Amino acid sequence: MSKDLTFEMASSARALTPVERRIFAHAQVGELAPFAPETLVLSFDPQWRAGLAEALMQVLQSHPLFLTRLEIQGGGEVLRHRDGQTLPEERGSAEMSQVVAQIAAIFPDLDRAPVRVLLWDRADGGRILAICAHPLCADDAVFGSVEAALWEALNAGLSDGSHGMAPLDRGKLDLGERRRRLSTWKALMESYPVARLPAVPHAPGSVTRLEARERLSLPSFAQLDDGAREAALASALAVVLGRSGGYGGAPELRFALGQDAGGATERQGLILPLCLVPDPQAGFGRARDDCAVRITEARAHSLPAELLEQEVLAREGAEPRPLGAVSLHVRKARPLPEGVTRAARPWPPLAEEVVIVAETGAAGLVLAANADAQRHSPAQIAALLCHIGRVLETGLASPEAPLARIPLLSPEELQALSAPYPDEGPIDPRATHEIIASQARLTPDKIAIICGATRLTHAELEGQANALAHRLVALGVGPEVPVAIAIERGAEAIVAILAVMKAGGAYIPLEPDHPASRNHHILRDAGVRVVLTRRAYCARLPEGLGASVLCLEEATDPPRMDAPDVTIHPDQLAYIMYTSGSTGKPKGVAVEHQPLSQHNQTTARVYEMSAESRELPFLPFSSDGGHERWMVPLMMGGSVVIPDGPLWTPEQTLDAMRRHGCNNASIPTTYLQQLAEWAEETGNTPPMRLYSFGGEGLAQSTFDLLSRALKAKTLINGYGPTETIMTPMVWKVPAGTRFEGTYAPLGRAVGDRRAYVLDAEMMPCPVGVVGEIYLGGTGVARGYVGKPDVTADRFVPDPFGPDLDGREGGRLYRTGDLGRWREEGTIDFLGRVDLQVKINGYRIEPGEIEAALLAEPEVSEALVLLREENGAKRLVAYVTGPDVGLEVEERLASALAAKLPAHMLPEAVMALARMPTNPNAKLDRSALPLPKARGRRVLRVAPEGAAEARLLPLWRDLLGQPDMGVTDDFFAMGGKSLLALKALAAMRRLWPETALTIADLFDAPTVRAITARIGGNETGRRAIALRAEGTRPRLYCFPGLLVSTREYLRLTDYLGPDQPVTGFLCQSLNEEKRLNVSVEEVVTEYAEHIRAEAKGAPVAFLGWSWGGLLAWEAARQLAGEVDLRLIGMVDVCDLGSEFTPGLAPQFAPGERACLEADLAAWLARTRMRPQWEQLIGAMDAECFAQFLRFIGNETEPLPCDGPEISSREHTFWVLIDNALVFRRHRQQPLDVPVASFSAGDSLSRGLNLLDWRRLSPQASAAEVIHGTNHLRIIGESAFHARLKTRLDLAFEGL
Amino acid sequence: MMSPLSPRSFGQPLWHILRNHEGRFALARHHHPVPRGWQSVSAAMPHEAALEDLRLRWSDMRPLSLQEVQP
Repeated sequence: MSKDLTFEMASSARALTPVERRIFAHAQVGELAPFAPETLVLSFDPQWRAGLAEALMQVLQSHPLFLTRLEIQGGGEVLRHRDGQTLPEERGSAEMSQVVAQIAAIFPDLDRAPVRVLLWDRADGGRILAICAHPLCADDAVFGSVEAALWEALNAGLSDGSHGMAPLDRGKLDLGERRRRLSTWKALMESYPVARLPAVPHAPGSVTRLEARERLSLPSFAQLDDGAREAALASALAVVLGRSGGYGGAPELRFALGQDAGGATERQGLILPLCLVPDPQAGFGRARDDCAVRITEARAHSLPAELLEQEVLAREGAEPRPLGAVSLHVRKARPLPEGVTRAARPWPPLAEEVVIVAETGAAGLVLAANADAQRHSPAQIAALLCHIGRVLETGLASPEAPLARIPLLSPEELQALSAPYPDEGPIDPRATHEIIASQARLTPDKIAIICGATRLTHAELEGQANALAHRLVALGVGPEVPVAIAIERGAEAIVAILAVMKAGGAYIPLEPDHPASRNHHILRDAGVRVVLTRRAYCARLPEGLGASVLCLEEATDPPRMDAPDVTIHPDQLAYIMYTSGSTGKPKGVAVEHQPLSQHNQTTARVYEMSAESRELPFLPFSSDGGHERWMVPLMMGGSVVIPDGPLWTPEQTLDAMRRHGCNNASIPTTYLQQLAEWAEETGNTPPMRLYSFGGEGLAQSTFDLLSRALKAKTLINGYGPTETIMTPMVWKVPAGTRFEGTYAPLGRAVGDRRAYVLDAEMMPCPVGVVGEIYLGGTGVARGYVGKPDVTADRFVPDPFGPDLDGREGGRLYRTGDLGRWREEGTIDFLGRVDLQVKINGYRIEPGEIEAALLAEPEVSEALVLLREENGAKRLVAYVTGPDVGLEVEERLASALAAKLPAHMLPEAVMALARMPTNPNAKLDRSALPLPKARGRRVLRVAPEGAAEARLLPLWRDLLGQPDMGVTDDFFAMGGKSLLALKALAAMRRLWPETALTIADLFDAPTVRAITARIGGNETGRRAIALRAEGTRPRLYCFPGLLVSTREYLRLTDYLGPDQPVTGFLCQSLNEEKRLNVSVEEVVTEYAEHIRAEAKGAPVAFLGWSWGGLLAWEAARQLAGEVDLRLIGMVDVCDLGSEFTPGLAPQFAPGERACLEADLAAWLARTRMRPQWEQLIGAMDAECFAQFLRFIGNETEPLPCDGPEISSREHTFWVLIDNALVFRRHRQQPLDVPVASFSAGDSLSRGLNLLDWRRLSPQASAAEVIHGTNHLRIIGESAFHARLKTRLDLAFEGL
Repeated sequence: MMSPLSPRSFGQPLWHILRNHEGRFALARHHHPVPRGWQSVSAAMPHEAALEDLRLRWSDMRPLSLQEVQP
């Protein structure tokens, strides 16, 4: 029988535990989430009816849960008593489903009834019991002990196997041990990044949580003991999360692991970060063993989770989910007596992005997950559970197999994701030029090519190509013989290319205008045997080239309709295309006839081409895509309009399309945008069926512009490295399609190909996970000319083909591009593998920064690159847009600062008129300018006059900037708030007669400007116009302790140019200490300022920290005089119990005398003695006793490092000074609109946050900003966004 | 006490050379299974050594079918 059924009847009250304290703080601010009321619903068959009432009463009178009574004292102290009473409430008759619906509406009230017990009658005579408890009092484990007590009272004869857990150690840790553990955890958490699933948002709107469930039957799992089951589940999750980290992710990872508290009688809140580094090459067996050790170690060194979270969140740029973004809770199924059923058990708090509960029991393993719907999709969460199950199953079955090779995707999933565009059309075995030739016989007189003044029919094209082909055969051209075509894009180049193929040779396109070094390299590298060119270009050929040169001027043979008698082998080369890699010399990609012809045929079908197609291909001939776009129309019996120069203006291009009746066009993305801009401006767009484009990532804004301005029915984004032949992937959509992510998707494979996203171990990535894009099937090149090693390295054996297509011995091309699968199987482009950036150990996806830039209205293109100069790495952002200029650069830089963590901020944002392109119309990275030297330019203007000469050296010293001049900005040179205070203090010593405030420094931040103000007696201001002008009502920001108002800069920036903002200076920063000043007096100055400025117009206030109390007082003083639309209250705490008047502090015998002696000894040492004595002199007896108690509670020795402004002692002094100011101040109720915001960390610390609903009928519950703390909340964009929403609402209709 | 921090001792993988029915060569990690249609034709070796081996071994990059009809 269970051991803890008789609970000791302790009448003594106790303070709340940390987790209770945290939940209480949530309740205080009116936002319980991530906690929720906990309910237990049991349904009893009729045979239990007789004994139930009595058994229940027995439990209600003995179990601590039902005896809970909370006493809320002054200063926010809460006591938990064990003398409360819970009585059952009869609710009439109902069935289970109705009960579940009814109790969803019951909200236990901490003040009056923290636990409710409800009973219903079932129609069949059975009973339904629901226990609905405030989360402070109960969780699933507490309900476990309630159930056990109930079965005991009912004599249900249930042998209790579920409470075999050792009692939890609640002994207090001594301070030293606590510190040691904290520093170990800190180091661990720094080395093990939080693992998370990639964001696959699906429901930006009403749905906030989504659920998934999976039941598994794994006999090998059932055989494990409890510890091994937990370790196996944690290892399986680690494998799945490790893979979710994406390409180049660290092997170290951490997630949160909850601990089953068994049948605890009070809420425990047991959860710890689990730090693992599974070796991908080791087997699951070893991973499980290692994991078990890690779990045991972690629990042996456990600390309250709150402490760990606070530790992490205290730092700038902190991980918002310190314990982990994913949590795993393994718990045992709780058996029920015969004839009793239970509605779902309560969930752990939904505090992570994904919360997974694994319930193990006789019925097998049930995995359930609850996830943040803003980040994850239902399919993704279902896949997560499925993947955990798959790893568990495979891992337990083959414990030696390397973890990295356990597949997450099933063959069916891989089949669906990798599949090409459906295309059932037959494949013509003939080569490309043979199919084109057949059109000359079918429709000889139809136009094939229009170029400048030239018009060629299909027959003329065929005749000319044949004539030239015979000449080439005579020159020795045959299979595998490379022939360079050094002719500019046009009809003659196409004739020449067809002639080379007809002769059996492999053509190499060469742009005569390209740099000679590049062309010479190609001619030599490919072993070119014949060069077809014009006389004018002969001089550009290299000396001593062992090749025949045939000039078009000499090839004057009459057209003929017979081609040379040449048989084309399917594996014979069609062309060699040179690609410039990001490094090194261009490589020749050799492509064979069969895959080329197949590609062209399937592409024709995907593009819906026909004999009626007339295409304008704008792509250059030095890229393979340019060739696809004339081959395909000609193969279909259609025609092409070839631009007769490389530099047509948008006007010329659109005019040519209209004049020649083109119905589709293929245009590089970079040029398409200019075309669309022109079309939009002139409104003069020819009707087109299709635009295809590619070459660069395409942003949504550009895509929208194309949709809007070009008015084509269909748009195709083509993607493909030369190695996989032209455009092996396309994304074909109706104009106006929306897409998520930075760039338009690459789409899916075309023809006899498959596209994969694989991790570094060549395992398929789950949907949303970043991996490298691989393309396989028959549509790949032979390889690189003369480079067998590079070929074998980039074209790798295809491990999937045999299972998916039945093709054995196939190859996959490793593209070097990063991508991720979307749920329907299209692939997103994310950048190059080799451009992935790592700075200071941070892995940075430039695409993420680009996305942030593209979200700004001024930006149409954005590119973020890592530039290296003299070994120094710098992130540089390049943007283009209709009117980007220098001021936009500045604005974008600060916009990024508001959105991105510091390590992701580019060092410079550079606005360009256009992105530079190379001759292939691809982005030319090397032509991008480098920003000026690191850091701000120092102007070094020398001082003039005595004042400047005195001040400048002082600033130079403070900032450590010996080059600083009198016109250099204090803050831009690295001046932070505390440095500013030090500078002020120093300046006051120089000019003791002058009233100087930080507002003066803020408004006049250079030596020259501030000395001018001092000279002109224009100093001493207490309000700073953070943004002077704007159409919206002014927002007045009230300062917290030691706040300089610069803290509001990011917020001001976020709120935008229409929102005027004024910041008031903190009283303590003025350094004109007036002891025993009242809050009312402090606020009078602010109120006067507002009264004079607002003149009755609408305004809004914002109070952060103790500034909230100031804002409230200002609202009181100005009631009826200003039109106050909203007070934003940010993490406003009331004074703690320490200094509350009337609460006499307690001392142990003799303690007070000791403390007084300590205080005296300290005062004798400190240099701040005069200030302290002044302060202590202003205290009454009660306050002094409280001060002593406060010192006695401090664990650190009293500081002696004052009176410097950044010293601990000074801060301590300010704190006590403020306590004296606020201790007698009480907020009076006011009828004003209040929006309040709390930092997640402040709640976890159980700070005494004010519940504004108690003070104003127009206050709402607090909105909780998770992942931030009291100090950082003011700079968080999540907070900015919510405040802006509230301001927008408050200003509606103005 | 707690385990030492972050052991990143995972070794560098070894590679080998595979060849298919068309006589095309490709590099693969030695610890991965050999896909159907391919055969290992070398020992396990570091990446750089495998590249060197390939430069010597694969002089005619035409597939076997083509080599047969066009010697």
